[in-house]
Amino acid sequence: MNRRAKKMTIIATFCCLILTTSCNLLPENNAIEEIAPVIFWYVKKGDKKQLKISTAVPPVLKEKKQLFSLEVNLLKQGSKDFNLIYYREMKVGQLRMIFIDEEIAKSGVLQLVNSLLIDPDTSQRLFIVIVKGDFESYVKKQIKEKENTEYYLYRMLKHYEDQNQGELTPVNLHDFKKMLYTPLSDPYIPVFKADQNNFKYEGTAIFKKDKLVKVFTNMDDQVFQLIGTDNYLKYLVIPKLSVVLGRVQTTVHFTLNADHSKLFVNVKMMGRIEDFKSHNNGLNDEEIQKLKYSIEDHMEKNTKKMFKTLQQEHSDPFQIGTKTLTPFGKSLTDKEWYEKWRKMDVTVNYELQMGPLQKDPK
Amino acid sequence: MKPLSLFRKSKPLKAVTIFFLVNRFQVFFLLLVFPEYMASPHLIWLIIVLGLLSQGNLFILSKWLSTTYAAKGYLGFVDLFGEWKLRLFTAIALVPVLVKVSFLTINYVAVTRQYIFPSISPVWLIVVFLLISMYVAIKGMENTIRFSIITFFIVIWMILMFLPFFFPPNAAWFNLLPLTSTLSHQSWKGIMFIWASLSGPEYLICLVPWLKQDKKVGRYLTWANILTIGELLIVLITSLLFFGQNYLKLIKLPYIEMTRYLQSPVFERIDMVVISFYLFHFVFMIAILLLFFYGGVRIIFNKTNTKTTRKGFFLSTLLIAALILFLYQILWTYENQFKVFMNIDIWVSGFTYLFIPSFLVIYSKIKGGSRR
Repeated sequence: MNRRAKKMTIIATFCCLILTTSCNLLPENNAIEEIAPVIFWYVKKGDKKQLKISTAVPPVLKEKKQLFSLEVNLLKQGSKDFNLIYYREMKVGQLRMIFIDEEIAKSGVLQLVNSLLIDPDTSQRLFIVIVKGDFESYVKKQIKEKENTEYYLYRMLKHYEDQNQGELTPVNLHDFKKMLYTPLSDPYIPVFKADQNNFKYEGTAIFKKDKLVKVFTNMDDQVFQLIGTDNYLKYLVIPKLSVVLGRVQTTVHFTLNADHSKLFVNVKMMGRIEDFKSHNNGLNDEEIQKLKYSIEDHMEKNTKKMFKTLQQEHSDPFQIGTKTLTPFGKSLTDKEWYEKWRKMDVTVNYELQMGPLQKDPK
Repeated sequence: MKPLSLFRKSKPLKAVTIFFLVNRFQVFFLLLVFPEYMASPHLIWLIIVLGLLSQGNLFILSKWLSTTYAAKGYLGFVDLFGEWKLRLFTAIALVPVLVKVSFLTINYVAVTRQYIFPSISPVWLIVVFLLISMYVAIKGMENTIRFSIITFFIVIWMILMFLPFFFPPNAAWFNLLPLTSTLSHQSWKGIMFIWASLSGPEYLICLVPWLKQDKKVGRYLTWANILTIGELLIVLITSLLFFGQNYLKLIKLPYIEMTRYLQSPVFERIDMVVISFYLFHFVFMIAILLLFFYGGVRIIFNKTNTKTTRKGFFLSTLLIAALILFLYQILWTYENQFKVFMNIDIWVSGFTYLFIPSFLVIYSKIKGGSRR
């Protein structure tokens, strides 16, 4: 053996020796048997202290699941205290969702969101969801019956995030903070309602800065999805006209006049009739024309109503304020914009194209 | 044991190596923090303008690199300044080298600690990273220069990762508006910052002996500069699109924070991969700076004719390690000191980049004139 090889062997042996002593520079232990990765956190107003946070453990191993709740002052205090009551160490590396109770959202979520983003262990893709009602009892019941409740919730949000379908609009931490910090815009978050048996999508929560001011449900929510997001709606249900439009896509143009006192909203909407209560066997041309006008009219009214609400709440989730920005010249300040936004005169115009229709029976 | 010859020249490296060297010198740590200090779209224009200025500066540099003084290497410097003055200048030149070594190490360690090893003692990390760099450096100057090519290809692809951020739903183009703004305090800071990010090519003057004299040197410098400007622009524009101006001001390492948002079915934490790949870059920079330091010390003590020794190199590295650890103990105390330190580095590297090339050209002009 030459000298070089000898030297290498000695070094290699030495390295192996060090490794076998399990002498470790890292004081952290990530052995899967000893930790409990947390998938979600539920934050609620507490009775005595400020926050009550809950999570289900262990979400991965085949053990009986439990729901833990704690009352704390700070969010991260919760992650410490959980470790003290459970034999595994809880890790937030797999944290995917945070459920925030409506009450807390009304008083502002900035603190919560900040303390999550500081930590490099938590992902920026963490979904934020507002929850109404008794989420704890829902989880308690579900973990008895099903195996991976919280994982299914995550899959659901993930599905809608990837596909951009307008049933709901998942918002992650990054989106939220970006909307919050961009001047001339306000954030929005999906809202769910929970009770013993159900966890049901309710609508979209509109924020003014970091405070929840309004929840859009049903028709309002559908209008919000059409106007405010890139989504397409799989079904647009209009119960008042007893019609369902399917595969609805919109292109929206916001036009502001020169002194920003008037807003024109032009919406081109495309969809096909999927369901319709009709006395005849099908629809004839005349009826279709009539239906078209009444849908347009109905949508215009609803959209206008929604804008009215937003103006009253001083909230601008559609980021219409950013339309005032020009490549050169000064931009409006937040205060100036909201002053104008409050008084703005909104004109809405819908143009509906109805896709392939059934053949006229006559 | 074979005698150590750190500064041996076997055969001159191709001039194209300059491209890799210069580009890697230019972008390193400042790129990672860059958008944080430049959260304003009007700085895009400043990058382009300063890029052109830097091009002029590189032209001056390439002019000096083609003189007979540069061709002769160390003896050329002796010719130019005379022995006593050269030793004095080397002593001064060691200051920016030391600032850069300590700045890079401390900051890289801080980044690694924040994202990968939050619980390891930073002292350990400093020691380990310096050991790795020393290993590369001990292979000699020639191999270290060659290592720049590996470094280049290991790091450059990362810019492609930012492609998804240019498209919706991640991007919002209105974040780039308004594109103009009056010059403010931030713009001046931005100008300093861009200039410091473009600095680095001045270190070439220490490397001329190993590089082939070639007419194409100027062209390679230009390409390296263009690539750097491109990288700076891409990183700035993406982070503006991704975060928006106001949010960006709150983000500490936008480059890494953006990669954190990416998803991959294989790796959950892409930021870790990115930081580890940057280790190559870091090791290259530190290795070459260690060699500069050792070479500089040898010039100061007039030992250039003697052989390089292991003991000498270890001693100089130990000195640097001690300096870094010492600085670290003072600097870790609070964040503001980091900012002061960063400002020192920005000023020093901006200054050296601005003055060294023209100083050398003017000095050799004067010398040449008086000789005639």
